[in-house]
Amino acid sequence: MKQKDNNHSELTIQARRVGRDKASIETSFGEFLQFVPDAMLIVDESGRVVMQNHLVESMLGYDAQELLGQPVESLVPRRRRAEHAQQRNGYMQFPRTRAMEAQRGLTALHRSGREIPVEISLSPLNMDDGTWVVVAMRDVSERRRIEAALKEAQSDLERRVAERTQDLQAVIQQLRQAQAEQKRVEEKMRRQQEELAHISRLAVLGEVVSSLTHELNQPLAAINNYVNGAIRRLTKDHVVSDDCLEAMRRATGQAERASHIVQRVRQFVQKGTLQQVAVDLNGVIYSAMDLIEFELSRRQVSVRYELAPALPAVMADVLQIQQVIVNLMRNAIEAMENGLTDQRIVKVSTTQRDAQFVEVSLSDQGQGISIDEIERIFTPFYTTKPQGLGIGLSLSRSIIEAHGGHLWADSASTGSCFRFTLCLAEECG
Amino acid sequence: MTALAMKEAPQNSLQGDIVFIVDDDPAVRDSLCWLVESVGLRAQAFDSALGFLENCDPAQPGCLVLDVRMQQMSGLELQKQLPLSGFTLPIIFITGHGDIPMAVHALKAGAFDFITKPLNDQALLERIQNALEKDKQQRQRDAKRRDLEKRIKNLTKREHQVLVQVVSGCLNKVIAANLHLSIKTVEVHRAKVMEKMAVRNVAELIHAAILCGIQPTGKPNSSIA
Repeated sequence: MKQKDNNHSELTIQARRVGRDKASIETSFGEFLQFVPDAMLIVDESGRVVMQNHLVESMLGYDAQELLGQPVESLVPRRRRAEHAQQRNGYMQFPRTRAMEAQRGLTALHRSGREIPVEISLSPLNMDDGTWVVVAMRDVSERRRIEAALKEAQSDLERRVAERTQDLQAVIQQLRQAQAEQKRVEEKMRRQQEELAHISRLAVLGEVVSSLTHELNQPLAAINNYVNGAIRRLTKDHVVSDDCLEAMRRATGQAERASHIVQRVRQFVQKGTLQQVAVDLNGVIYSAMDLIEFELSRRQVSVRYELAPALPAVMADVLQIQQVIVNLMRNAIEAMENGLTDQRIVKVSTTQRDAQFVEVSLSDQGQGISIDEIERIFTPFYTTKPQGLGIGLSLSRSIIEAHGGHLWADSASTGSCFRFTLCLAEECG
Repeated sequence: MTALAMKEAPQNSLQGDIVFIVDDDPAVRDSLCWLVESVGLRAQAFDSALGFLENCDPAQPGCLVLDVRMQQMSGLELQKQLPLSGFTLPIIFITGHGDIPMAVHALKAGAFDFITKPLNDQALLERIQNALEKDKQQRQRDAKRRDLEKRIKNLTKREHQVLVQVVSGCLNKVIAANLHLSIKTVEVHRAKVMEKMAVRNVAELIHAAILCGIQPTGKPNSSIA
């Protein structure tokens, strides 16, 4: 547009140089105007229209030549006419090519009274009788409409982005809560694991000492029996001196003393008395599984429950029975370590065996137990694991027997199956 | 050791009694035999509950000294198994743990007693003597009952009817009316019953009948109107 304005000015200047008369220039300029693609009009110093192209007329609804000689303010909406006249005078003081400015968008007045949004650029044209101004107008209503639509689209977009952002934040918030929840659960699991480990250590210590006590008490009891048996025979036959008999009595006294010491140590580390209560065994099983959930998922072992519904309550020390289940589950998990992932299943079932006992069985798909090993595995300090102490099954059996039940292993063609029984609460009463 | 003890003539042995010892620890087992034999009792040891069940005759009098903690079949399980195999031997448990629940369990299930390790030989031997005494009484009672049952079986139908009436406290007169017999006939039947049952008086007869599970009719004075 600016380029075009310059061209107009140059055109004028060149026309002047070649010395054509003014009228002829005006005529050819008027013809030229008709080919300009914008609506264009020229006003003189007093603000009257001296020339216009047909685009002005068609844009603003005037007949041909109707505008000629009219004040340019007639194309300005009434409310801005006074202001416009002032601005026009101001322009004449410092005429230069520039775009016309307005604070709330320029409009041209259609003959019908409707306002058309326009862009206007002004270029001064120096004539002999003063400065004329070339006014180039462009109807921008379409552009405004697109701009408005764009703006609408943009704000719509912004609104949607805002909505999405809100959704996202809600999701993030939920995620954070879930994370916090998971952390809490993990923390709880960790504490339970620690508790279990602690209980395990105590129980293992108790079992070690208990087994040791048994192992030591056996020979001590034998010593006592032998010596006492000998004393009785010798006393009857009167074949030895009282000194010898006295020495033998002292020997049995010392054996008894050793036995009492061992007994005291055992009482010191004993796992305390059983805290037996009537409980739902299925619930105890589930809670024990919670304790080793991490191990199950880490070793990709799944548990298949076949628990009898409506199982009558059993008398049990919950912590100790959990201990037994965890011990048996760990054995099962380790036994299946080298197996295929999809075969790492431990089947856990409960059944009411008779009027007195409930039976729990845990069977795995592991390497199994050979017939000649099936009883030895319950012996204290017997183990097939390089890191094992050999106390887990012995401990488990002690616990179950202290409950009045029984723990044993079945040999199966595939895997091994451990079973234990517990007394019904109403039977133990 | 058992053989050695058997060679010595038992002096204060109850006739034919055997103290059965079941313990899977060889030294404990052997030393218990040695101790038991030192007071002149016969002892026989087994290393497992199954060994005992398979090799012993329920008719053999004696008592059983059982270790609670054994491989395969525990003492408590053997205790459960014994009556099923016809054994009535009194059981003395030896428990190394002194587990109260286990001991309670054993006693509830009818154990004679339990003794905790470390063993007091005096206490153990006394309990064994008591258990043998109990077994003897039990067997005498059983023998008596079996004898009486045999005698009751030898009664005629009529004699049996009279016995039931006598046990119910009926007088001869009432019995005669109840059974539609003459008093004289009732007296004859009654004398025959006393003879066949080998009792000297009505008190003994009633005692014997109750021992064999004969119930009184509950209507001692009833008579046919």
